[in-house]
Amino acid sequence: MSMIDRWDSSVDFMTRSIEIPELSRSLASRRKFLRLSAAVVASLGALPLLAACGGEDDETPAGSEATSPPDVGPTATAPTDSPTQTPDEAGGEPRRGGTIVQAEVADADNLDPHRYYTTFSSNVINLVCERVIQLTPDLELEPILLDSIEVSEDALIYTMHVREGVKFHNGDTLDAEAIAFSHARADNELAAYPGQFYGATWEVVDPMTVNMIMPEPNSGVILILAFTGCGIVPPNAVAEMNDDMSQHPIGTGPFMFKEWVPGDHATLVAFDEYQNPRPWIENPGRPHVDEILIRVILEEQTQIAELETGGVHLILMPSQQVARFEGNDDAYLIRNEQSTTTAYLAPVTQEQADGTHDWIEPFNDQAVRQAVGWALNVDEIIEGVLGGLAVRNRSTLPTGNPGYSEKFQDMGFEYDPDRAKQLLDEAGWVASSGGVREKDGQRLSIVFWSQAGATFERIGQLVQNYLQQVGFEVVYQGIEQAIFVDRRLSGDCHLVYSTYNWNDPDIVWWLGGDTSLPSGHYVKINPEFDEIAQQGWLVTELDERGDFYYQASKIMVEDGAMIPLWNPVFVDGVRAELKDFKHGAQGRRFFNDAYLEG
Amino acid sequence: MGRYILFRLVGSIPVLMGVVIAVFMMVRLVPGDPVKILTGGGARVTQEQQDALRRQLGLDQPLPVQFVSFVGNLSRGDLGTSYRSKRPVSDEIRSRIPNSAKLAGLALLITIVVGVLTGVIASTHKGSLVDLATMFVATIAVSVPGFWFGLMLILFFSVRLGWLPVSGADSWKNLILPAATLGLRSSAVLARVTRSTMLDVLSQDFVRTARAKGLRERIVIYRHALRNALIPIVTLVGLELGALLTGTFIVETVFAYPGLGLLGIQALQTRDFPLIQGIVLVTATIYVVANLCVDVLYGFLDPRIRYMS
Repeated sequence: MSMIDRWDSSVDFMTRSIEIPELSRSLASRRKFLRLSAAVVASLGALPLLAACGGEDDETPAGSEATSPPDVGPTATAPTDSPTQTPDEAGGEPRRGGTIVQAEVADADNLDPHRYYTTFSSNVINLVCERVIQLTPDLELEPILLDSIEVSEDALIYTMHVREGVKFHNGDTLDAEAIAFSHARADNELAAYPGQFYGATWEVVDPMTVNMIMPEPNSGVILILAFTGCGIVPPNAVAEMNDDMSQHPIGTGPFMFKEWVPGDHATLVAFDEYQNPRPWIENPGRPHVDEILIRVILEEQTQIAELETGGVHLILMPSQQVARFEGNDDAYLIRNEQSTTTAYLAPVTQEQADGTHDWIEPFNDQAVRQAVGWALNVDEIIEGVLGGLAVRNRSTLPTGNPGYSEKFQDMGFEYDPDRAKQLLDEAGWVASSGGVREKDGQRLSIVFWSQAGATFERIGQLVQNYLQQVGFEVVYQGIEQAIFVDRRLSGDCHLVYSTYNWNDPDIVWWLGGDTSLPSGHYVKINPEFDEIAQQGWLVTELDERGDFYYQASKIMVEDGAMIPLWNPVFVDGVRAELKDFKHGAQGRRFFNDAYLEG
Repeated sequence: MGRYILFRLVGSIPVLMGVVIAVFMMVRLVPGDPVKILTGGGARVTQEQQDALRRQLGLDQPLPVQFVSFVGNLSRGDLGTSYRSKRPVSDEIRSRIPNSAKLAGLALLITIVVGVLTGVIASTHKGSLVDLATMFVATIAVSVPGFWFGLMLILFFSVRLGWLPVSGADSWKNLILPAATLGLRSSAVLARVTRSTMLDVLSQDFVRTARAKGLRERIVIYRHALRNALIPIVTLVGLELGALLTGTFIVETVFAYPGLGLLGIQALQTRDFPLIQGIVLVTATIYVVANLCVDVLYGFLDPRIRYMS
């Protein structure tokens, strides 16, 4: 079960899915996306893309996409493909009323759009608070609260023209002041990710125009504008709440916040004055349903039973249950097609006495790290444990991220236990009578951790088995989530199984540079990796970025600093009576067109 | 009696103080950093942010300082503020107690009615098929994990038959399955004890005398024998109340029933120290009071028992 947001392993183990035909479509779309981006950048004067840290959400745009509304010439984009929706795509006449019930396995931390961390919070806030721009299901940017956005020649000033007639849930009217206030609030020291706008400041030009002023060019900032954590809120309401929206978010979205009972549920009600700006959504105004009830149900089996009995309309389907629901008359499955999560094994590093970082013995021997990669039958784990709901990936760049291409599969490891044994032999780790290899009297003995939980532990046990077959002695432990997050870098274990989620191709850098990760000090161990990966922030053209991340990923993988495994596929289980439920970008749920039949 | 109750209440204070110290230390000794949990695993969150949050929560203070602060607040009836919801712990607990009370109450009722009746029936049919069958079922029920039993009840009564809701607390129907999960398991324990105690009592002379006097068997069993078997039964019911309270942690999770147990599980997962401390304290207090009630009941059940000279 998952209580933390998307970043980390523990948490969002199950993500969105990728099927090969859809992948091709997505990639084609992303190439277009980035060609447009390059055109914008050219028109802006070749601004360098710097580090895109801070923002997090599933919805945070990835890559070097620049955006603009339809009236801004070369940057204008229009959605070309239909969003993911129910099998009943033709749809009947939408019925008004009813409550859609959705289940989550974890609770919110808070509901302040600028100060939350968890997925549950994000799912609520996303329906309540809109951003100035957002991603379409095809990963193209579209204006939501703006008529247009213009970027100065020197790429230092982003001028946003506010859409007229947009109302907040409290009756206030959207204006430039609200946007400037919200962005500044999402960037200040109390925000979840302070400084995510790269030092931008905001200037209200007139009631419907606001300038975002950058200290230096950074086209990455425009992607932050689409991040759920940068929702637009009414300043007056925030002031009335003493700068604390954690209990009662207010925005311009299709649903208004009604109540949150921590640990139990959140209720949202349809916003009567909502005006939909998205062309790929049919409903122009108020959502068809009256309410959305988001319930916290920790136990997956209980969620399944609720879906079967109709008590809940929508759940994230556990991978082991997917096959059972295929062909089910009462519920259908929607596979999210854009996976930005990578699952991997990583040898843990430790700070040394001299301040440098190195792996813990025996993983300070590169051959031992590489042997792990060759020893694993990853395809068998995907089929046997995940029921095929994952895409094999030999690189550190998820297949759903911009910049990914087939060449990224040219690196990494295949299942070749003989090669693993050969590597260990050559490194002096020789087989002893008990089957465990030894070197200079030291046994090839490791402690291997994953998070506790049935799926995690089945994966862990298989990994343990593969490693033992080539001569490792492995103590495997499934560790409770909070302890896992706290202790995995403590030196108590040598190797961890984990996952990480990020949308930009710079995930390649973050996997080697986010110090909360077992592999996060690799930038200090290998300056070449750091230098090459950082080049990815300084260029805008997708193929060029991809080249840098390809090189960086290859360095990291072939050094055995990370053993990439797969990109998980996430599947929504939906009751048959819930019609026209759609996925937006990267699996984000949209209920504007949704209605309950019967 | 009044003095005895007062004496026991005063005697409970050291127990609760021990609980305060134990729970304060235990939640902090268990690995798991609340700050890392609150910041989504700590990924991409700067050390400065984590330090600021740690200061805000008071976790940067030495343990003795934190303890003094905790006890000081407790003495004013302030259980602190939940790290996660930012609401007073007392409010969080107060909002869940009615649900848990209803669940534990119904479960206790099931425990007593089913447990005692089954035990009595088994004892009066010693060696028969009824006796063997009830004790076999009781043994199975004691052995089955509550978690699994709850899921089986959901599959049968909710998914297969569609009679009862799966989860939540929308109506009285939501109480039935979780209360049955808790109560039936406890009733199995009680049935076994009732049977053995009743067998012992039924072999005593006063039972034979009652029968010789021509009393109806029902009166012999329920008015004479059962009453004399009640002391161990009541003792066990008091102990089972503790099992019911701890059982709610699992059962409320399975049934997504918004009670104290589910709140406790979520607090543990997120290392919400103030909330964990509050829930454990409240649970311990209920347990202490329940045991006091059991002791007081002894006097009513057996007038020979005198509490204090």
